[in-house]
Amino acid sequence: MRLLLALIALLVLVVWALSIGREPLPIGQIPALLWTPDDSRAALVLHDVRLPRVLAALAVGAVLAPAGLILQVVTRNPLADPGILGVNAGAAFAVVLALSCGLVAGRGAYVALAAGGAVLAAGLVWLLGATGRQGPTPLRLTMAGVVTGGFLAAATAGLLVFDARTLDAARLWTLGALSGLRRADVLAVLPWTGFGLLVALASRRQIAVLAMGGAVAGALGQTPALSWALVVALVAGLTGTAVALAGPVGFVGLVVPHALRLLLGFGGLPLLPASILTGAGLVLLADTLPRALFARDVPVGVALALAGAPVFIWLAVRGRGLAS
Amino acid sequence: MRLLCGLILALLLLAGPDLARACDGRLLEGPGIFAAPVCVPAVPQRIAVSDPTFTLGMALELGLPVVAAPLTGMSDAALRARAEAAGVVDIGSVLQPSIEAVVAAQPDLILGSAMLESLHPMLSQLAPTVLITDSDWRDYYHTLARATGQEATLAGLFAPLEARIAALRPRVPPTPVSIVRITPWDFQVYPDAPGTWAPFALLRELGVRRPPGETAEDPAILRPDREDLAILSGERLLYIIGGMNASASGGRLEEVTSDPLWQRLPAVQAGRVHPLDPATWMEFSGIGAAHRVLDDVERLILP
Repeated sequence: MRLLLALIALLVLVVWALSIGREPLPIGQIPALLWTPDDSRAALVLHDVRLPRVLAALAVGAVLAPAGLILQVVTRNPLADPGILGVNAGAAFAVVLALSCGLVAGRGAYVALAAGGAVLAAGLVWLLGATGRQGPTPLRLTMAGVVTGGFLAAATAGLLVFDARTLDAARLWTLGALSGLRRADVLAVLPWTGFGLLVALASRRQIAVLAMGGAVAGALGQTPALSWALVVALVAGLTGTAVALAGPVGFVGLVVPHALRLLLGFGGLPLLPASILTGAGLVLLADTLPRALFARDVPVGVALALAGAPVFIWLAVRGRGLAS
Repeated sequence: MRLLCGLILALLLLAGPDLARACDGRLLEGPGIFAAPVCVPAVPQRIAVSDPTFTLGMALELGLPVVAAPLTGMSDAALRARAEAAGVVDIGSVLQPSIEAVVAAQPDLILGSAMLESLHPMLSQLAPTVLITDSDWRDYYHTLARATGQEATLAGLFAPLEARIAALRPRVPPTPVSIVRITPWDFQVYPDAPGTWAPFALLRELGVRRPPGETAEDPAILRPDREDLAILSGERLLYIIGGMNASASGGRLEEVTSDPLWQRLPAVQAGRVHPLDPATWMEFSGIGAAHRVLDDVERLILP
């Protein structure tokens, strides 16, 4: 029931977000223009500018929140964030390297580059974390992620220091921004987003078993190395689709699971569907609200951090008050 | 108290003439000069300039002995070639010039814009430093000529330009012209506004009309997103791409021109879209650049 209400709220939020922009577009006209687009400029703006941006915001939130939740559960680390697998750093490095070499200049080309960089970084983390006799463990993978991420972030910063032109071009994207996305790029990423979410929902049981620790998982008939490979691929894949669309967006993966736990009173993997809807709504709200209130386009990563931190503190304080 | 005031007044009276007496060149007073008065050499022999646009171009046009300038990253190849032929040494990027390189150039005068205000305490220890606070390009040029004793040369350079502007003005058609700069990350419109960037101020003088969306009271750059591109509603569309950013390579222009919202612009549909040279329009550098702006007006805007 709660999920249904959340879904309805999300739909209302989507229609409102579609109405925000310079070109006046009354909410009442939006459904008609969505289903039966005409030749008007309004229809073009709706289908080519606003809808791709709204879909991208939904997709980014919908994958980052569950990715954070899964990581927090399996590493048993409440501060785990999708960023610790080095995926964001890999995506940023690929984009900045290509910009620096003058291979790309358009915003649309970032999507494929970021996805490629994210996959390569995740592969490198897996190679580093899985080598040795013990194989992959939460600690080794986290260490490998931190090392890889740190190295790639340093390499990215090095490139940007020596190349002011690239710094200019990459500045907005590295903050996490959804402006300038082309419809074709968003549509190319969305199937991967959907596939990743389906795999996440279908693997809830394996993830729950793995969260009990390698020994328990082994005793219950799981091959921990295989399950770990699944989790890393899943989280890297989910985060990769988000970073491909928006650049490295932090905060969502960390905050949404905690906020839901504080609001609903329970934690862990049962929160997965709710985290998908909440993450989607949060990112869409953060991307749209500054444009609605101040007519200013604020990178979604910045808006999330600015608005999200106080809300999270409030939730935490409220939660503590309830507990005491 | 009265005694203290008298003492301060006496010290000021003594110090004022002292400063003038201590200056063995010329004492430059404001307006237009940061931290005036500044004592400058009567005939400077070795000048370091702070930027590769206004100050470098104007100083070379006045025939001044420029020895150092930040040439790294400048995209105006012709101005760079002229500077190198004149023996100007590169002191790094305009955003972060190397103070060591300035010292090595041994300037007897440092010229630049007041954007370098924060570096003034350090620069003024190396050589007399004239930081120009004027925002209008003509005022800037006049202050620069005054600082170097070249007012007569400047008058000779300005006269033909003013005559050309006066001759062009009646021929400018009333049809609106849109101008946009395409960067790798956004679109920028330098509006038709008081105090706007030099080439656009020249268009304003000429009476070139811009559409309502490109006209403002505030000279701040407008940054339309894709949805806002409709403000480029002029009958002719001029665009600036490349220069000091990488937008000219890597498919950015193709991305923009294939955008259906770009294709809906009236000038695009009428096939009246023309590129402008970023070296002239973004790195405007004096009278030569002003003439090149007028060349573009004659070529692209006049009927």
